[in-house]
Amino acid sequence: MSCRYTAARTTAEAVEALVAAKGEAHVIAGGVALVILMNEKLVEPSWLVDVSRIDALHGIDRLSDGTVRIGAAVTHREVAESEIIAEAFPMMSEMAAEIACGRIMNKGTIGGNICLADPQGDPPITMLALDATMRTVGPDGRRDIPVREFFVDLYETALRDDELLQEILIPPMKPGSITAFGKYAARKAMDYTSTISAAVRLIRGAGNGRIEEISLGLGGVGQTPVYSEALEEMLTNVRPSDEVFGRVRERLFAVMEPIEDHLYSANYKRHVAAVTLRRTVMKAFSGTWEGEGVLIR
Amino acid sequence: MTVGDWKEPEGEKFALGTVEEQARWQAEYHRLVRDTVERERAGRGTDVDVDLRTIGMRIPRNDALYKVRGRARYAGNIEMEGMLYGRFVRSQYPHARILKIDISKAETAPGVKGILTAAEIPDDRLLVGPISDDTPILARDKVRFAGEPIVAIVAETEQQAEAACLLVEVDYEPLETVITPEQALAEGTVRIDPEDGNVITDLHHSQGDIEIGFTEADIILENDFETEPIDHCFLETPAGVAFVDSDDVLTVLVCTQYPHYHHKQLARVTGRPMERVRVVQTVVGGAFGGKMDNTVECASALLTLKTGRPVKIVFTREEVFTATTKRHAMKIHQRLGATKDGRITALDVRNLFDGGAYRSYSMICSGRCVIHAGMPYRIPNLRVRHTAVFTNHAPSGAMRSFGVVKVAFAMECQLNELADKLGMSPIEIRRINGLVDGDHTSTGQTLTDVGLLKSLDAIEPIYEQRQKDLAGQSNGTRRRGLGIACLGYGIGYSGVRNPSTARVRAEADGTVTAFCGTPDIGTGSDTSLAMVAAESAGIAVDRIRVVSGDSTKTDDSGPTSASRTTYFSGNAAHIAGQDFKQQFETAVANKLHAPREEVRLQEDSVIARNERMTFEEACRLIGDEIDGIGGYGKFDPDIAVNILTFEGNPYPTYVFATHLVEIEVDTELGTTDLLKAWCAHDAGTIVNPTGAEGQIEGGVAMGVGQALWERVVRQDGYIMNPHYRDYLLPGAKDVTQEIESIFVDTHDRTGPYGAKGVAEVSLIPIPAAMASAVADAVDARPSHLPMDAEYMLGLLNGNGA
Repeated sequence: MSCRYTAARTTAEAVEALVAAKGEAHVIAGGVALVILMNEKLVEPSWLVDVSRIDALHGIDRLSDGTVRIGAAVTHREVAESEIIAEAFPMMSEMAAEIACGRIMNKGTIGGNICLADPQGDPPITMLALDATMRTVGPDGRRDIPVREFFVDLYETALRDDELLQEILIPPMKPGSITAFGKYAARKAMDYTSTISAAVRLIRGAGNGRIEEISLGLGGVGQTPVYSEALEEMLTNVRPSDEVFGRVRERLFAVMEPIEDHLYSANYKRHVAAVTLRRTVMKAFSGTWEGEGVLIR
Repeated sequence: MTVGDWKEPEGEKFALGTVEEQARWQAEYHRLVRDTVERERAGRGTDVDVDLRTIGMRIPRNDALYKVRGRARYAGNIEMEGMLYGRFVRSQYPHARILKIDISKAETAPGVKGILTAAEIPDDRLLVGPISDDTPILARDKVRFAGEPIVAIVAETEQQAEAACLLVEVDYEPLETVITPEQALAEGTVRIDPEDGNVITDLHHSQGDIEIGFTEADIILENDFETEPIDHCFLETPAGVAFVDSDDVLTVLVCTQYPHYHHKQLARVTGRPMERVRVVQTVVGGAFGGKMDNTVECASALLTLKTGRPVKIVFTREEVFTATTKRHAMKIHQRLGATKDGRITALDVRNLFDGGAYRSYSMICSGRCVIHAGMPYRIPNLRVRHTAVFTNHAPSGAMRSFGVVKVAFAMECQLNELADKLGMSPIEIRRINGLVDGDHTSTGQTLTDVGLLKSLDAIEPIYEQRQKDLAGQSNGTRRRGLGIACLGYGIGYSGVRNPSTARVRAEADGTVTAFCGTPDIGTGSDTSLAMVAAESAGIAVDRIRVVSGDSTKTDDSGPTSASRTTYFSGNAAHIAGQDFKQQFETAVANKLHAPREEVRLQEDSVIARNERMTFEEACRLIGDEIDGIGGYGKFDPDIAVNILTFEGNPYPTYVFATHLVEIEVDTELGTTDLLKAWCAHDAGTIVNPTGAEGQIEGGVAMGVGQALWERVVRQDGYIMNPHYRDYLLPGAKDVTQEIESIFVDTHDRTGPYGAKGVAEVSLIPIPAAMASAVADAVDARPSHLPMDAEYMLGLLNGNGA
């Protein structure tokens, strides 16, 4: 039951430990997910590599080309309070401000959340809608992975065992982009099971009467955080209407495979996903919102 | 916190720490209380109750200063020299014969100091239970639910004990599993209990003639209702420390609602004389009926005797969900008949209880459900059949309201539907049928001091105003609705005498100690009992230190349950306070050689002839003889009910209430939000409004959970959501901030200063009121708890349940 613990100070130290552990190591930053799994004995790590004190994993900066760089060990609290992010990607500030509760916001990190690849995670779908790049570091140096290739399967990412997520690079949005984030949860705070969420970036055209361009991320509707080019296509160059959302809903029912849980059936989740997506798109498109914060109701 | 060989003075309450520790904050408490009394007296002006010094005042809780400073003693925090830590091996099967238990590997595991199996416990000591001794401390030949304890292991650390548990090998022969009550009752189903098969109890009660009742009816509503099992969700899991003190007294420090129950049980299962056992309550972090069964007590006691070392056992949350008692899953089939003008003529009820693997409090809950069928209304023709059965689920037991919350869910929903069908308001239908003074209950009890209609009066104008405000406001996918539900609830045990006692004693330094039989389980009862005792004795409330929750320091006064503490123990404290006052005045008179009638103890002073002295001066004057003064109070109302005919007076008094809730349904998602609750209660005189309001707000929060989210999910006898991640308990944002507590002006002639109590009952109307508000909002009638979003959406789409 003993567990080795490495408090890495540099990415090189962390990578060295990951290589030495030959796939047996668990990377820990805020620990908000991993420690729960450990307490429930669902995960019994033999080697923990703590990356929370690596300088290269901290900080939120705007690079000269407008790209925003977020260190992987940046906490949700830091994301929520960052002026750079509020200015560049408003939905990320909103999203981060309503993750779980204060304690988890203070400890949990954006990188940890993305690498967990929970299908219900909130940060991953904002990455999908914003077309971010995951920059990793491994024994062979850096690697840039487009976020749409990052989520592979349930709790599985494109990261190799000896790689570490170092930072997230989010390109500047096209001019005229509007973002919105919406989440359904059974309760108004702290829900984890059965949350359904949508992240939307869109550009309006034709005198603001049409959606000219859209990118989306959907949470809680599959084995991973989900994007769908087909759905994006259906919502491109259209005037949002009941008919359009009706088709989106049909498509969603046809292709999404949400995980059934103790609370809701897959069909109910599909239904909620369709409502969440519509309400969130309309939040971005016309500013109509009856929800509380990012909650859609 | 480390405690040694625990030998505190008699006037000390273990849970709150030593008197020395407490003394540091006593001055602060005195100041708080004096400020409160001064402020409230100034505010009362010429109020009729001006004679009452403290009853009705917002006296601060006498345990608050210790709790907020982290000095209150929770069992889980207690450490002792040489302490061992215990864990259980639990059944992997819902129903199985145990063929073999092999502990050989565990015995040699690191740190293991003792292993207990049923083989070591003699037959006559193995079975325990609150009502019937039917539950093995550890399973011997058979397990009846997944999670049932089989082996208990103590080791130097909790981790070692846990690791050793994994080394125990149990060979099972799985048996057919009984999952539903219907299956339990079906012909040919495997028998769970060797004596009673699968029926725990099958109760019948009738009054009048049900057939005639339905013949007289112009309208008959026939509906089915169903509720899911839920957990108490006390935040502190069961925890206890057992050790033998230097006087050879087996001592168990444990969070419980009923120390005396465990005391008697431990004497039997250890074979020790009663005076060699002691059970001391630690601070209780929530109970709600879930801390009145054996959990850690017997195993920790037997293991401390076996090893000679203190033993601590603390349940994990998963153990709480899988192995402690649950609220009964219940099915109710109800037929309600009424005339066109809204008079109920007949009520026919068929209840089915999933009792789980052992009896626990099923019998008590069942009896209460029978007696409360049709409450709080006049039902001329009533028929009730209530069956509780065994299944291979964790035992169902006591939980806030003993089942009545579900009885009310069915009854109040039916009544609201009846009102709708007859074109009446929910207020009107209740005025027509509601119980009033002089009415008889279905057991033939004649009621007095019934405040039901007063609670309706309080709600009616609010209801009418909100109806006007909401008219035409519901549109689109957001629908508002209003719902009303009432309750009537008997205080105390059902039909069994359950006396409460109190003793009041003074020290030469002016300290007064009240020994109260029922422990404070977090409700603030120690404060309200101090208020009653002080009022009756004529002394200041902050002078009184309450000692409760110690089986060797107080008499057995029953558990803190059934909403009985304010009424039963309050009456005992009242009688004891008066007795103390008499004895104290006599002692002063003797010292002064004054006529007895010229000495009065009042307002914390003694007036003797025309002189006034402080209470401390009087104590000094009495001197050593003060030890001879002991106020004693026993309250033991004549309670009896025939369990075959259900005739008699099952409770000494009843409380009543009307709740109004406003909700909003999102018809597209099926979600429901509680926006506001107005709760008008007939609780008799309110001893401490702050405490009473706290009870109501807590009851509403609990009711919202049961109404909308809470459900123990079971599959094939296994609990699928044994943690708060998947068991949805409402959080602060989910319970409305707007709860208005209204206390109607009633006075119970048999209660202490007219008090009845609040406690459990504030929960009872909430699920029913919310379901009725949903019906008002969306024109669909929920008949299932919880009314979760998917269920609601199905209902809205016409798919039924």
